[in-house]
Amino acid sequence: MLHEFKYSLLTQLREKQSLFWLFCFPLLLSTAFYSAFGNLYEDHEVFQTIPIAVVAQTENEWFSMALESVSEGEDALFAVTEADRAEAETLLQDKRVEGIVFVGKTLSLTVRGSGVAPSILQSFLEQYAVQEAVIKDIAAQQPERLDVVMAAMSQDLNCLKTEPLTQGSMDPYAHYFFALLAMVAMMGSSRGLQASVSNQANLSPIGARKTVSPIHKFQCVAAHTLSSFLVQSLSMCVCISYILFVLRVDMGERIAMLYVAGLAGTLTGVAMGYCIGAIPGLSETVKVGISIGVTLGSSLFSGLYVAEIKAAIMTSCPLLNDINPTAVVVDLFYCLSMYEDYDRFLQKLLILGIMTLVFLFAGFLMTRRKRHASL
Amino acid sequence: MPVFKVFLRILKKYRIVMFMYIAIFVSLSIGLIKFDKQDTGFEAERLTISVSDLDQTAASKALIAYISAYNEIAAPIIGKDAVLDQLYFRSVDLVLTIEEGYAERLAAGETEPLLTDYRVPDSYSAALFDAQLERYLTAVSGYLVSGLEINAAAQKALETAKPQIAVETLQDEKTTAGTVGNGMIGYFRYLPYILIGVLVSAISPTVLVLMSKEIRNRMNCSAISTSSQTAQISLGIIVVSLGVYALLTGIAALLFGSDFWTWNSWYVNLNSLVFMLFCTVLTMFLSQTAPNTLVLNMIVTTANLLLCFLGGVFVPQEFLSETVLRFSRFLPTYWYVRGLYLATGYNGEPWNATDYAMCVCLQLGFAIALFCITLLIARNKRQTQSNA
Amino acid sequence: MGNTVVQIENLVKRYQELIALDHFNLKIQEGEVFGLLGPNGSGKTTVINCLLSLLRYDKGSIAIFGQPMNPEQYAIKAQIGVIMQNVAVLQELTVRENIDYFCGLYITDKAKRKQYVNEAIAFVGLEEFEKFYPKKLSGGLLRRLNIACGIAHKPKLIILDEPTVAVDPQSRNKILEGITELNRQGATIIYTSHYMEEVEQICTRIAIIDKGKNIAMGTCDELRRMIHRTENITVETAELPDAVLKQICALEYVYEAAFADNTLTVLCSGGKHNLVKLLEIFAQADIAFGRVYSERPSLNDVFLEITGRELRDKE
Repeated sequence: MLHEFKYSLLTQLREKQSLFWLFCFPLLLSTAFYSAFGNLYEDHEVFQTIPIAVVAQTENEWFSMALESVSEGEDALFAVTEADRAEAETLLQDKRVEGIVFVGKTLSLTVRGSGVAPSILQSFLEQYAVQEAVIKDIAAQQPERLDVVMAAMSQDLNCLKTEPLTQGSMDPYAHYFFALLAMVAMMGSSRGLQASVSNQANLSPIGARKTVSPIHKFQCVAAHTLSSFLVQSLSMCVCISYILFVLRVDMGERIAMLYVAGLAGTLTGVAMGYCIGAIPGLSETVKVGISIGVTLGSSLFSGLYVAEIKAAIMTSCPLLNDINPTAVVVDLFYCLSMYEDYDRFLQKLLILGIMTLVFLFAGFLMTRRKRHASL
Repeated sequence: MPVFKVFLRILKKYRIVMFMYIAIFVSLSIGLIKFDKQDTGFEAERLTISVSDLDQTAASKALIAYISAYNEIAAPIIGKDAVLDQLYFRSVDLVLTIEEGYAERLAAGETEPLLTDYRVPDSYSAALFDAQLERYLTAVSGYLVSGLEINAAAQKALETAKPQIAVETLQDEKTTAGTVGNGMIGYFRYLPYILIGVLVSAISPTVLVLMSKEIRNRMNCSAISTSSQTAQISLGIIVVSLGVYALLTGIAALLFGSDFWTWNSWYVNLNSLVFMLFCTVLTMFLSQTAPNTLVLNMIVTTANLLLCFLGGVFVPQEFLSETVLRFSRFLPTYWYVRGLYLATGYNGEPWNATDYAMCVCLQLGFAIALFCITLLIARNKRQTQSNA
Repeated sequence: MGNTVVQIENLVKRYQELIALDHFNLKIQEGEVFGLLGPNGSGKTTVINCLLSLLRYDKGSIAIFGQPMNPEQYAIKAQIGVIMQNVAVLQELTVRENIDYFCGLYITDKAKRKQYVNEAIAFVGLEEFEKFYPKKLSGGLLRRLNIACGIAHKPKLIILDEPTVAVDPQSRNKILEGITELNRQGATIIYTSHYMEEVEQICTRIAIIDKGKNIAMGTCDELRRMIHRTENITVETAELPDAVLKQICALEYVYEAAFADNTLTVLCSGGKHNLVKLLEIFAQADIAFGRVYSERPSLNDVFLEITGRELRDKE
């Protein structure tokens, strides 16, 4: 078995074109992902002080005070630029401010279009307007309580307590890197398939030669599958290392376990390929097509191209995620990144383990003691 | 035209790959239609908020009514893991729980904690919700202090907290916004990925077969001149490219109905036609340079993903960093997407005929440059082989 | 010649409606170079694949070294060497590595294997090409490598399935010499081919197979004796009057004579001096002639007489 292992490893490492797929393609793809998604979360989701322009058509001391209170300090809501109408419109056109507040008899707002920052700006102005309306209402009906009301309304309410959810980063774009790693794991299916095909007499002359040798088929297949796993694992480890240490994508603190997850996924990918390769009655071309189709299809449903697909399946039909090996591998990385305990991680690992065993067992059953109807 | 006919016959072998790409694209496009909304000026952002009401009082219902006036309410989510999943994937923007005793304690002047939430920390959506919540609860607090009882205060605050601020958008009569929905924009934005994938995956291997040494030598011994062979192969490439383009455009016409036939969609189609031309030339280039199908697959997958990620096909250009955009300007996909934005007024992009023409011309320029390189490589190859 | 190495009885193999092997029988003794001769599609490779338990068969029995053969007979497999029709080598390994790899499937002892590999390389004459990769080798050299991979472990039974297809004459001779040498070293050889010249040259016993049936079996001489014809005489001459041709046909032992394209072909059955008598007729008729040769019938003649067809299609 060691002999078979040594030579199958050597053969795989000498396939130059296949080495490109193995190493360069995942690195190129993760670089492309990083360039596209790398700063999306920080730049567009994490709150940053909203730049606004204020055009003071009339004096409004109360509004100025209210605006000042939210424009100071490190956690300021707005960064205010005072300007005239023309200047403000230029700033807005050039996307240097998110909106123009016109302070006149009433407040009004001009924005470029829809968006969350303009909505926050609008909400702040509405809050001021509401407070004004409440005060006017109470002043009209119960003027004796006006001072108390104004004092109560100017206090910070602190009604809302935010519960901590996770230590991990809520960057949803990290999901694409999880999906990429899952795809790298499933790319091992092409190696597993080769391990299967190269040991079948009806699909390869090498397979025929091996079949007539006294080596037990199990030994041949096991050795080849193991070497395929080793080679693909190298690719996985290089990819994980590149994403973590070069691109510096936040995937949690449990770095060693990330590699474990990657290796578990790789084993499943190789096993899946081996099982596909063992399906009787199909040519090698068809099997390769099935392997590619399953890899790409399962990657699609694991959210590699559109993350919302996985989210939708997770809500509407979670079982579908659990039978999709790529989605399960994605979940492994996700659990390590987001959950503190290992419960769900171990659950997913178990599912993956069962899948691997099923693939290997099914593959072995389909090829053992095989005599073919035709060669 | 025997070479042309055999080109089509060989191409038939790859029709499954072609249709697979197209089928996946069309399925995704149908999903995109649900995002097909007209961009008509300013609309306040509506968050998706999951609300659990443990208080079940008139006051808590009034709070929910207020929240639902400005946001979408989602069903309560059970379990912290499920909450995390939904927040992570942004299926919901916030998960709010109205604690038991909310009305009672608010009436008594206690404020901590009447409500608990799970959120994406330090996010714009969290800041927006905070602003909305504070608007309402400040009003409730004011009415409570003024002497109203809690339910009355809640109802009154609900009425007072209605929008009062006039919001205008910066008007530009040149903008084309409002005539093409986001679904169609999404369809044409993803088009480069499919065009490159379909054309190169099917046409390049076909050309590789016809240009293999043995086949070419045999063809060169025939009565058909080399230039006629090349012309017939080129004709095959052009016919198939046009056919695929027509199919994809036809699908767009079916999916997007009246949107497709608006005045600016002609610009959209011209833009995509020019890009298709670039894809055709790219196909020819890769057919000349890739030594076999395996290497071809590697190159096309890598090139396609890089062109599309960096050009703003998968991730809108407004989200790409300046560093990336500086590099992207050297890619035809970047100019294709720019042209699409100009033609559709996406993201408030005002119509500018000069800019649009530049985008189209740059794509043509890329196509011409690549075509020249392809010719050079082809001639070099022929000379090398005739000297060998 | 002693023990029976291979015994095939009543073997039937069908591919749906087509009967590839039709109650095929075969017995090969130890030390033989046994030739399996037949045209393309006759079932030679099918016999080999059934013998090696690569193919399922519908009926019959196969025994090798006295034991029934099945895919789990690893002890039997250890003594068999196979050289398939398709070259089965790994493109990513050098010549030496390929031989070492395939030998390693049979021989686990490293030192012993190293020695065997060296001997195999020397045997097929690939010493200069040890470090070459298969894609750098010519067709002939590739076939030699293919053979080396199959015999490096010194098997007792060697099966060669059309090993000289598309091979240059030099390599072909080398291969045939090598097979003879292997046999001299004690291996039993099964050699399948549709080239009768090769089979005639090296095989001690031959079975002719056609449409899945063993139609004739024996040594070359025994096969020749199975047919009517004992001698083929060919005379090149510019002209041959009909009267002379009739005279030739009337000769005792001549059963067929034909003149076409300036060549007279005479088929004889029996007789000792047929050529002399023929030349006497030529002398009497004062007919000039060019080359004259007489030969014993070939295996192709045997095949033709039994089946009515040529072993190989006329080129």
